[in-house]
Amino acid sequence: MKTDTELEALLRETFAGRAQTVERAPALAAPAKAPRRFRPWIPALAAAAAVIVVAASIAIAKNVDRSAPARPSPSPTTSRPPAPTTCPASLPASWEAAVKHATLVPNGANLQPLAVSGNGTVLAVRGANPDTEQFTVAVVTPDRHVSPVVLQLGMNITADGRSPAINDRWAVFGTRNIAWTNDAILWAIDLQHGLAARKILDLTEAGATGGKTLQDWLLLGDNVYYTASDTYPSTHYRLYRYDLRTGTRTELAAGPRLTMHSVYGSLSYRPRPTPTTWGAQVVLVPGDMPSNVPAAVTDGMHTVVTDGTDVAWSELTRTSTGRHVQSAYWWAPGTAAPVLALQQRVQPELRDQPAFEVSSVAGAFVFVNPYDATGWRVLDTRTHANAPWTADESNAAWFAWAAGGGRVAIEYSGAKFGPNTTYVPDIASLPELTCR
Amino acid sequence: VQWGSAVRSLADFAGEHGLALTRFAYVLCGDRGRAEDLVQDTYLALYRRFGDDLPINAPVAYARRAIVHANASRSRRRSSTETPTAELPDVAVEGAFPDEQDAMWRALARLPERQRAVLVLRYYCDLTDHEIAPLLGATEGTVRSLAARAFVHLREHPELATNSVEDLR
Repeated sequence: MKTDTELEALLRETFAGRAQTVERAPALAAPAKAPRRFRPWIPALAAAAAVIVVAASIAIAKNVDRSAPARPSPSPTTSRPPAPTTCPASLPASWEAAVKHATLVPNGANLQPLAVSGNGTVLAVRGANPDTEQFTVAVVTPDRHVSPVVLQLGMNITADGRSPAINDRWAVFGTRNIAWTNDAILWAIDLQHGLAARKILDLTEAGATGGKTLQDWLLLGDNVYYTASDTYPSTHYRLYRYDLRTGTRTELAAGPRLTMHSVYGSLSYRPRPTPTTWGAQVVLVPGDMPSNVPAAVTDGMHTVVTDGTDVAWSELTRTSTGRHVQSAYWWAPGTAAPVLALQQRVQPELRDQPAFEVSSVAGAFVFVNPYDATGWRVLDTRTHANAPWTADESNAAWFAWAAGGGRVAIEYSGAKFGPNTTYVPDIASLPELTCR
Repeated sequence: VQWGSAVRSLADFAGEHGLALTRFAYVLCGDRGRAEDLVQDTYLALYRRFGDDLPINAPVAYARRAIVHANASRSRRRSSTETPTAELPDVAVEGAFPDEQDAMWRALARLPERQRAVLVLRYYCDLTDHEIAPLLGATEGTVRSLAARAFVHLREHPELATNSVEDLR
């Protein structure tokens, strides 16, 4: 048996030898905005801080006074009513049973859910087939009817996880080159006319019109709103509206780092002159955002998610002691005030950066990605339960990406190189979580 | 390069440190294509956090942290285009390395990511456990524990289980 010294020497030799076989670095590609629901810069920062301080003040409370709208950056000093501590919980066996009972499609391995419409239809992607170089997107209705859309794109293409969306008429998603994120194509599928696919924007084409670097997009009714910049590097974005019915593209605004937000049919944007300063919010489409959902959700560093009814979001505040605290809120129409779903102190090194992301909401459940190795957490806003959602297998994980129409799309990513499976249980079938 | 108050362009940073970061990413994840992805993601992270200039004290350390955690995240959010295989896709060229190094490389491929990360940070980057701990979001005790478990796994690997100098005495 090798001694520690021998193993250490062998490790050094092995690493050094293998490293020397790498003779080139990737060229600096034009950065595109990271996926909305997977933001690589945040975990990096979370890591930089050596992890989120979990303990501090995880709390859940109902009926929190939120009369003052939250701000996109930490407010100077905020006093909040004390919130009771959340209770640790475990997911009951009935939770996993309910999830596993609802496979998206039989034998649907490696279908990755992207979005769920208001009627429960799921937009999913199977990805590229290395043999045929075909990229397959699937539209799966609640009765499990699968309609595939096959695109001939090449094998180095992956789904762009930024803002996939589906409504009753359209599905909109992006694809990009695995290595070169700016080689993106923004697609639309007409769900009512033979699943015809079209390109809204193709950045792989020379002389692409409507921007050269895609930043973000949103589907709203028959329109796709997207932001793009003309050059790299550039923080000067243009905001376009693409009418899916007519194919008309209209430039609506231009400015520094325009960041769009949409909830309840509304669409607003705000410019960001510097990385830490924000301009005034501009409402493009009023929609019917309830007054209880603050304009807060306009912070580009945070997500607002909805299952069509319930809404969850997060915000950062600064306490009287100068510490930053990130809070997640859940709100459902008809309830008096948002529920403080999670409150967590942010490690000082993170400064004003979020320490976790509200990834999705499904009924009373809020799914949080804490950007560390502990896995996602499930919060039950009815009982204040806060449960880790870990997989039995090493390196496997559960994700809840989207919800709509009373269903939530859940992905199980198997252990290293194992298959992933998608489940779409009815939210009502998931058991209420109780504290230990 | 004095980073204390310096402002460097991202392009300059990529030019100066891109190769070293790619090598680091490669020994961390064991796959060249993925290593390049990780480095590209790191450029993106730097750009999105700091814009065109990098007014930070230690961008290399920052980039390493970003790579370590992006590697963990990518594993958990596996691309739908990846083809499931039993082994890491990189196969050593026959005779390019001593047999023991090949064996070690194969054994490393089977380690859990955090264990492998500890070994890379210790024996490739020559960082102390005190320096590694914040990179992994762990305590020093956890780092030591991960390293110890990694060594146990390496010793259990059939190709590394024998041939110690001590055994030959």
